[in-house]
Amino acid sequence: MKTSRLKLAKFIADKSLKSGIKKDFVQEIAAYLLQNRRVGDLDSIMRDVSADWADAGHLEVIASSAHTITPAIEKQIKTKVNQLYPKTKQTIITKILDPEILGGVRLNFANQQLDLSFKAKINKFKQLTMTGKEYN
Amino acid sequence: MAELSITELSADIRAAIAELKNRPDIENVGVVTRVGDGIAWIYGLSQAGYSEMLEIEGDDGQQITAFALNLAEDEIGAVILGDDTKVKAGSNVRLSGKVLEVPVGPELVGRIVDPLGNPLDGGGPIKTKQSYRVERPAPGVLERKHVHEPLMTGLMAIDAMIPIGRGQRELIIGDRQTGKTAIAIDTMVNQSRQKTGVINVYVAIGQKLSKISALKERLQREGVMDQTIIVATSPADPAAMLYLAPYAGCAIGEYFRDNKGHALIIYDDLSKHAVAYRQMSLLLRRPPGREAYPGDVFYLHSRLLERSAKLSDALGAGSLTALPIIETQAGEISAYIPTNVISITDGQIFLETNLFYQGIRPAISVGLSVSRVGGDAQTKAIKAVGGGIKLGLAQFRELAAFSQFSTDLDPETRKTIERGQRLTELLKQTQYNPYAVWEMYASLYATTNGAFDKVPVEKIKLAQDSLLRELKAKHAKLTTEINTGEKPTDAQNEQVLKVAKSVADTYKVNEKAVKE
Repeated sequence: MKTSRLKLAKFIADKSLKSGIKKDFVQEIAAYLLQNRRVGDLDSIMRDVSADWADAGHLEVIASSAHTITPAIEKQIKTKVNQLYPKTKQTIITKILDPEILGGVRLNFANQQLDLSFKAKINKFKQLTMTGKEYN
Repeated sequence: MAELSITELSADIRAAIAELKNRPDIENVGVVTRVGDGIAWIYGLSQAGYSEMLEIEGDDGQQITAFALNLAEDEIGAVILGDDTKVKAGSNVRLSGKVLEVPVGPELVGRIVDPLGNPLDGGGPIKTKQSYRVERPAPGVLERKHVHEPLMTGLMAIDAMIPIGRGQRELIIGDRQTGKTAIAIDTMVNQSRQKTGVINVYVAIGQKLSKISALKERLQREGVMDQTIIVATSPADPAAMLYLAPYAGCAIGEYFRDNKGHALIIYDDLSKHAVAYRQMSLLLRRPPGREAYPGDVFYLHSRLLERSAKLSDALGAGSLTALPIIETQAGEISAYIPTNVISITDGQIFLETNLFYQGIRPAISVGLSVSRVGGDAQTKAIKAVGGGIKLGLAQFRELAAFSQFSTDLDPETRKTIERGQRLTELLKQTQYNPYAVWEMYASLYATTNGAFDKVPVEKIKLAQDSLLRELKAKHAKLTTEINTGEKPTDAQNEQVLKVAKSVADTYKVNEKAVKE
C-alpha cells in the first residue's frame, strides 16, 4: 500500500532531527522515491518536512526580492522572523532574486508567507479601487 | 548538529536521484505468459501504470511496443501495437515509464501518418520539435469561450440551416453510401477555397488504403493537401492502432488549437472505432454490456470529443472543431453508439438513403438535423436569409405528402409546395463545389423572395448558375461586399433581386405555349 506523503515527511523530519542529514540517508530517500515512482512528490514532501522542522525550531525562510538583499536588510528580516517565531532555535535565510515582485521582500516559510512586496501592495490597491471599498 | 536546510536537502535528493537513474542497475522485468489476437498477458511488472508503454523483446531482438490496459492483481493485459507474431511466451517485458506520445507541429501538414506519427506516404522522415501525449485532458470551463466564429462548410444546406461554429462538435450520421465523407471532404475543400487558414486533420479509422490514396490524390488536385494532415489506419492494422487513431489525430489538432490556430478534425468513422475498442475489450476479458460493447464505451467517445473546444482569449482563442462520422444500419439512429455520440455532440447532420437516391444531395434530413450552438456563429448575411428555410422546407415536406392524395389545393398551399420544390432543388450541390458566402446569399435571397417562382423546378440550378455568373462578371464589387458576411443593405438586396429577376425571365415557363 502507498505510504502517505505526510508519513514519509514525518519520517524524514524525525530522522534528520535526531541524527542530522547523512549521505546514506539521502540516497535511501532517493532510491525509495525512484523505486516507488514518486519523484514527482518530492517538492510536496520537502514542504511537509520543512513544516515539521519549523515546529521543532529549525526554520528556513526563502526571501525573494527584486534586488540583492544587503546584510542590513538580512538582519531586519531575522529580527522580524524572531518576532514572528519566538521559539525558533535556528533560522536559515535563503535569498532568491525575483524581479517580478518589483520591490520589497516576500518571505516564504514552510506553510506560510509574509508578502511585503510592491507587487502585493499594488494588487491590494487594485482590488480596493475596483471594489470601491475603503482602505483601513 | 549541523544546520538543517530544506533547500540543501532537496538539492541533495535530486542529485542522488539523477545519479541513481544513470547507474546501470537491476531493473524490473516482466515475462509474457501468453499472447494472441494482439494481446499479451504479462506476469510481473507490478508497478506498471495504466496506459503505460511497455517494451517487449521480440524473437529477433526487436523491441515491440505495447500499452498496459488491464492491471490485474497478478498479471497485466497489454495491447500490442506492432506485429504480434514476433512476440512469444517467455519474452521479456520492460516498463518505459512513459505514456504514448505522438509528434505534433506544422511539419506534419501535407503528410499521411499512422497513429504513432510514422510517415506512410513515402515522403521521408518527419522531424517535429514537439510531441503531445495521445491522451490529454480536455480544456476546463475557464479555459473555454463560447462558439462564435463560423466554420463554413461551403454547403448551402448546412451553412444556412445547420450552421457550424469553430470549436463545435457536429456529428455526421447516416447509412452507408449516403455522402457522409463527401460532406466532410467538401468542408475541408472549402477551408482551402475560402482561405480560412483552418488546418484539416482527417482521421481514417479502418478505411481501405485505396480509399485513402484516392482521397489524397483528390485533395492534392484541389490544392487542399497543403493544409491537411491525414492520420490513416487500414482494416489490416491491429485493433489497437484503430483505437489510438482518433486520440492521436486529436493531439495533432490540439497543437494548432493551443498555438492560436484553428483546426478541423474529421473522425471517419467512430462506429469502426467503437468496434475496434469492443474487440480489444472482449479480448482483454472485460465484461460485455449492451451490443457486447464494454461499459466505458460512452467515455471512449466523450473524452475524445470533449477535447474539441474554442479556447478563451487568454489562451490565444484557438479552436478545434470536430466532425465525427457515425454509420447507421438501416437508418437506425437509436442504436447504442449513435445515441451515445448524438448526446455527446453539439448537433447532428442526418443523411437519408431515400433522399440520396431521389437525387437530393447532400441528402440531409432537415427534420432530424440540428446544430445546438452554431446559430451564434452564423454569418449575419446567411442568418438573414437562412432563418425561415428550415421551417419552410419542413412545412413543404409535410404538405407534399398530403398533396399526393388530392390535386385540388388552395393557392397558399400550392405556393408553399412550389417554393419548397424550388428550395429543395436549389440546395442540391455537387461534390467538390463549395459555395462562397455571397454565392449562398444571392441564391437563397433570390429564391426566398420569389425571383425564381416562375422558373421551372428542373431549371432552378441553371438559373442559379446564371445568376452567380452574372453577379461575378458584372457586379464584382457587390459580391466582395456580401462576402464579408455582414448583413447586406437594402440597396444591395435590391441589386441582387434585380439581377435575379432578369436572369429568371430567360428561364420562365412560356405560359401561353403551355395553355395551347
